[in-house]
Amino acid sequence: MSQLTEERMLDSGEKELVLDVRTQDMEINMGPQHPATHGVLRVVLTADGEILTSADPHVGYIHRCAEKVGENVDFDGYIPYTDRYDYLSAMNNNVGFALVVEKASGLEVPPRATWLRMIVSELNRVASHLLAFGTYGIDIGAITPFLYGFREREWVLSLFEKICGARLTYSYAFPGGVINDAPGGWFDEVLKFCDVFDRKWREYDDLLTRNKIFIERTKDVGSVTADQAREFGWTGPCLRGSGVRYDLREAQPYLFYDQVGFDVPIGRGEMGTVGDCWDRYWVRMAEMLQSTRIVRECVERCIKDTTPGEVMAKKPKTLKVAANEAYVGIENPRGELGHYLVTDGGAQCFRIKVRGPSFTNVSCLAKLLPGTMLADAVAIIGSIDIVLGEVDR
Amino acid sequence: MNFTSTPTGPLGLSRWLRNIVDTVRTTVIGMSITIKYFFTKPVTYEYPEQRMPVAPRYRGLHYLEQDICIACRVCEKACPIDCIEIRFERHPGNVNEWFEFSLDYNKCMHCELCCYPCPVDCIHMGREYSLVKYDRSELIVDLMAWDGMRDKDHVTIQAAIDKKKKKAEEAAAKKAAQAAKAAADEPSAEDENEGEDEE
Repeated sequence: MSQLTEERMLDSGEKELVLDVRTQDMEINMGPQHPATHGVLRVVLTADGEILTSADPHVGYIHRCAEKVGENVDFDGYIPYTDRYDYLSAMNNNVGFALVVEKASGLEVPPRATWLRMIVSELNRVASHLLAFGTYGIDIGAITPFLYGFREREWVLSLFEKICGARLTYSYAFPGGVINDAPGGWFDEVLKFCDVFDRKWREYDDLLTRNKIFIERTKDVGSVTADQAREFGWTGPCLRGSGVRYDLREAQPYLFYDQVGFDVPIGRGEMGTVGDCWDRYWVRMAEMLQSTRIVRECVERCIKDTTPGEVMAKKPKTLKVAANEAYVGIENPRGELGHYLVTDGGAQCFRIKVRGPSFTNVSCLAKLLPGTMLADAVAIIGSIDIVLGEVDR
Repeated sequence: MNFTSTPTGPLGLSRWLRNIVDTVRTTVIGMSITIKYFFTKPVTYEYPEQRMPVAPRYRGLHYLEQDICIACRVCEKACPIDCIEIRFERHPGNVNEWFEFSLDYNKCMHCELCCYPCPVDCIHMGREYSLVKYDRSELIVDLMAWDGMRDKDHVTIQAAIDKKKKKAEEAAAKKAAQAAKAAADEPSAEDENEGEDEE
């Protein structure tokens, strides 16, 4: 089905025949069971040859009504459910919900609990970014970094197991404080982890970050300018990868983040354009080093300034919050995790609204994928680092 | 708005050669890191034969100290998904006849919220974590060490009943004595009443 439509001269003097080749667009279902979609995301792709013409992300396969459940269980009972929306950063989710209940009820948190929350939040950020790093390597075609990333991640999970007893769904921070104080020797092991991790980080740098094949796959792919990123409503490493210095730990400090020193790494277009996949990946890598820096400072302050054992505020057996409303946004490993809580004087939330960063970040796919190659779709989805448990909640 | 990936530009000979050199160089760097770990001990465990040590606070499968449990149902109320089922009957002498104390591991999410409010600290989360079963119905686990009552419980109940009976008898005797005493103190009044009735 082709016919000669045009004949034109090239600059080199050769003649070129332009054929009007009509091809049929092909619809491809990427997912819901695709290893590169990091869960049950289904993207309906329309491909013209190797170039994508449209992309339509379908979400909602693991919707579990987490917000509705919050209206039926008491505040402490909702904490295990917060673990489950972004299961890779459960500590941050616990802290986010605990903070919003504390803001609405006016509970005073002991300083030791706040320091411990910061330590576990940052360790969880390291664990989450390590998984993002490893799975991104797998998406691109490098399997070794995944194993190396998981080795250090297992260490973090063992640290969490020692302090709260679970390896994935922690239920550690509760309204009023944290459930357990750190066991003996835990702080030393955390410091040891930070030291070892900084050495291992250089290995990741050599192994994947500076690898030429990896750079060629990710540079100039899925570039998003700062304005576009703001229009998408992006937060977290994706937004910072586009060169916007916006980090809730710095912009609206919660916990004691105003008392510790850290940098906010942003994408600078080191390998290609600003805001490409490599920049988003690089921001995550650089954030891990900042996290260990925060952890070191927190451990020092926690040991020096606070007394062991005081980790939970005095609160009634069943916490009841007077009619009030509050919003607290925290910096999750994937962006701003916001909780909007409305209470009516009962022991349950009257309404809890969760603003998940992955849900907002995934919405860009319909705009970002058309025009790219099919193989780049995997690189772009991986660089946004979504967790489908949080997209659907 | 242009979302397409930017073209890489003309590929000259020098850039082509540099790409090859860079690729080989960075791959060799990566391989040298990997080969270093060839000579170190593996960090993995051969799971069914070897098991990772678990931390003292590990939240595994529950265990119940039934002899100190007072059947207050606090754990049942604290559970956010109602996976604990308790049925019992209370007998004299604070003895509980147990019918059921089961935990549905189809639902349980190991949050440990049942253990925190226990007033006598009798329900704990243990260190066992394997939940491999052939059928889902096997996941409803019975936590009871004994069903119904123990032998010594019958003795306790009998003692309590005897004590109660004795107490009741004593009280009845006391009451009877009091009544007799009252009757002895006011015989004239009774006589008067009787006389009135007759009239």
